[in-house]
Amino acid sequence: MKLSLLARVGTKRSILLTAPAANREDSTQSLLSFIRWTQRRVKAPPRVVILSGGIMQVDLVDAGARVIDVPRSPLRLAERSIRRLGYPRLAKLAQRCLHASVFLQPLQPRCVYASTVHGAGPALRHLPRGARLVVHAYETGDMLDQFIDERMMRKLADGVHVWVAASDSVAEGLRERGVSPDRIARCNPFIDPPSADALKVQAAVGSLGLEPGEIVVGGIGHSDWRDAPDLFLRVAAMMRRRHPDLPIKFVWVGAPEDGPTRWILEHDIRHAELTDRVMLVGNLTDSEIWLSTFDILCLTSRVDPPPPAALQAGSLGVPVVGFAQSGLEELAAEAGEGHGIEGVDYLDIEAMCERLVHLATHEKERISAGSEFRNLVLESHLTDEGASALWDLLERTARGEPPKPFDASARRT
Amino acid sequence: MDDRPLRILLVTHEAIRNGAPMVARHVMRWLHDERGYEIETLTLSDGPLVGDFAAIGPVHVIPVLDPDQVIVAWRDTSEPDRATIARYDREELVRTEALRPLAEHLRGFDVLYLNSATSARALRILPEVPPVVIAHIHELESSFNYWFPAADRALLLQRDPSFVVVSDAVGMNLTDNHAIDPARITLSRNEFSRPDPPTPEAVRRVRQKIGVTDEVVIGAMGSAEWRKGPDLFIQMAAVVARRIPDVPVRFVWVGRTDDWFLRQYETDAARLGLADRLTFVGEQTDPASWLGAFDLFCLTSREDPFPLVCLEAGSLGVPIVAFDNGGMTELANEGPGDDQLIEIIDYLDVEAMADAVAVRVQDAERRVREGQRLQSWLNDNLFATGAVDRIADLIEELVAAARSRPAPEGLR
Repeated sequence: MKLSLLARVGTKRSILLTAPAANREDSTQSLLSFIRWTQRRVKAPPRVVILSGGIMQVDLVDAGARVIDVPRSPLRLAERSIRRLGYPRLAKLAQRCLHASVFLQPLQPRCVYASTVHGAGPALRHLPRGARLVVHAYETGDMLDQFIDERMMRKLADGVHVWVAASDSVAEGLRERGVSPDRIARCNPFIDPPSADALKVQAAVGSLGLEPGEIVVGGIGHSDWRDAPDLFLRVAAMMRRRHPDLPIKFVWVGAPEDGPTRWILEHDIRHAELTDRVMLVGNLTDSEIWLSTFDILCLTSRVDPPPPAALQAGSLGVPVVGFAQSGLEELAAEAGEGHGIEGVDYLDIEAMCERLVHLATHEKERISAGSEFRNLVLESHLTDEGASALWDLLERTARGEPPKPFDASARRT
Repeated sequence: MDDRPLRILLVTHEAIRNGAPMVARHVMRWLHDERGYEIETLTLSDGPLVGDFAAIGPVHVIPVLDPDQVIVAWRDTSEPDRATIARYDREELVRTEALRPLAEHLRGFDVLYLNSATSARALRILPEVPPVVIAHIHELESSFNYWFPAADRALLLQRDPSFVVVSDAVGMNLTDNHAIDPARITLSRNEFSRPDPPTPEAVRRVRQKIGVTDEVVIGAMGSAEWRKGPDLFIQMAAVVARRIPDVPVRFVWVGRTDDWFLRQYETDAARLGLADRLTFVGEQTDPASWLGAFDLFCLTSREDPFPLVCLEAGSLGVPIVAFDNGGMTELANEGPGDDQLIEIIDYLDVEAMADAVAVRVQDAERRVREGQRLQSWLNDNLFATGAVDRIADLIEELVAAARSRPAPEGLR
């Protein structure tokens, strides 16, 4: 009895999932889906430690994660104080000790999973002897160059045992930066099935104050360069100039309620005379509710290796137009032409407007395209499929088996 | 007025080669040289112009504005809520309090000259406020609101200030949106901003530096941040490249660029296939040579009250294309007849701006014609007015009035 209990604890402790922060990022959302899946499907779910707090902290803790170094915690305050007193190196050392404590457990993990490349540094630095490191990469090559310095990338390329690439373009970026191809596995992005409350959706639709026959073109994301609400407003401005009579309302979900990043959007809206056409609504916590109100998703992201917003929209039957880059381009190729997700040239606002006008004015085609995309997403991109493949990989790695790259998309075809 | 020279405390929020500090440098040097005023400068952040101000009088650098903190606020993408913003404000308050002793010796001035709305932050730390306060406002509504918190506005208005504005649009913003009495506002459109023309050799060196031979150079100048629209400049360049793919064109942005943003701009440029055609060259010590190397100046600003750089480009005969973004619209309409002095494009209509640029890239005569028309209008009209004289007269009138009335009870 004791032996079997110990064995169970040993298995439970053999895999450690880590993330750099509980910020609302695609990788954190996927991690949350993955943790919930392991809670449902795995006898001995893994330990989960998030190194720093953030807006998704409550959800992650509910799912069983432990969040250390949360804002306003005594440790964080101490670190900030040391930094302010003018001892940045000492502060960094304090932070490293804190991170090290995650990995110094009585029963050390045999496999450590880092949910992003930019959060893999502490895991590599403190990796217990004999443990193997799996890193999930969502960053394309140019994003790696932006956020990971060359020295760290070299260390990671050498030290990480298995890389999980969220798209082919991500895998390509890793290969170009010195990662051996036989250590790269491909994992399709996955999302939870749709579950939006119909009453909440109805209320959201009501809040938009739509005229009869008005089409909702939506955008979603953070108010930053990457998710690019500025480009969404450019699209709206061009539509106002070129198709002033088309009844379209542009709805952006995720702008902060206040502060500079909201003001600059409001500035563009005012000066481009879009106040009657553009609404900034809601927050990303309710993304599914708002996506349900869209007729078309206009995905203006500059970078979106696996575009979860596109998948989420697809699961609701909403067709997507975005820029043909990394994950969206691959997803569009997977769906095939005219099947609900299409990409135009990078930052080509004219082309994007043309496609939106076409979909807005061809209702049957729009609905049919959305439905086709929905079938693809429900068939191939739900958590069950992606998460089970990822779990298989982690278990194999924990057992010390050589990496056997999996390819969820190959499995489907 | 008594005979002792007037003592002015100039406050500038920054000391980099941007419009507002360059204006301050020019005005103060003139007031010092021509009217014999004693000028001391308080700059709220450090920068390369500190040496220039030091040549006019003592300079005090007290970093009330922490550029890092500003950058952090703009970079914060994790859904900054009211609590986060309040935290920034609290931290700033603590910093400001800590800096107050550094300003303790700044006393006994006749005039406090705040060279921007942002400079009013100095009121948080000054031990006393002179009897005359002049605020030289360069900001339009969005910048005004962003850089000029309500608490600072209240502090300034308590001092019954006079205002110098750089364009009608700025003045109207003050009267219409902030209930400022128009009688307290003086217009001074930076009319003195005529740089010495660069030598052909200096221009040649610049073109050589960026590897330009026969290409048409489309230039922009300014701190590469949201307000100046470097993102729109890149998008405009991409549309031009699509419209006239075989015509050799180079796009150059001159001005300070934060590394974080530069990486984003370079990513966009590379993905748009512009890596060889578009260059961010950073802040330059001889902007006139760079302006002289431009064949066309593109003002992609989202908001710009009356950009100095356009006057400088125009004075060198460089034609301008600009968004409808503030002061340049006023200038465009000042020319004789129906022809605009500057081509004004609808706000955010990047494609129309690209069309306007593409037309001029292929029509050298038109560029020269438009450049000369702008240059001669500026020379005959704008630069001929005595703008700094007006500011000096205003100062002396206010000081005389202040000296003739008794100081109110309780005024420090």
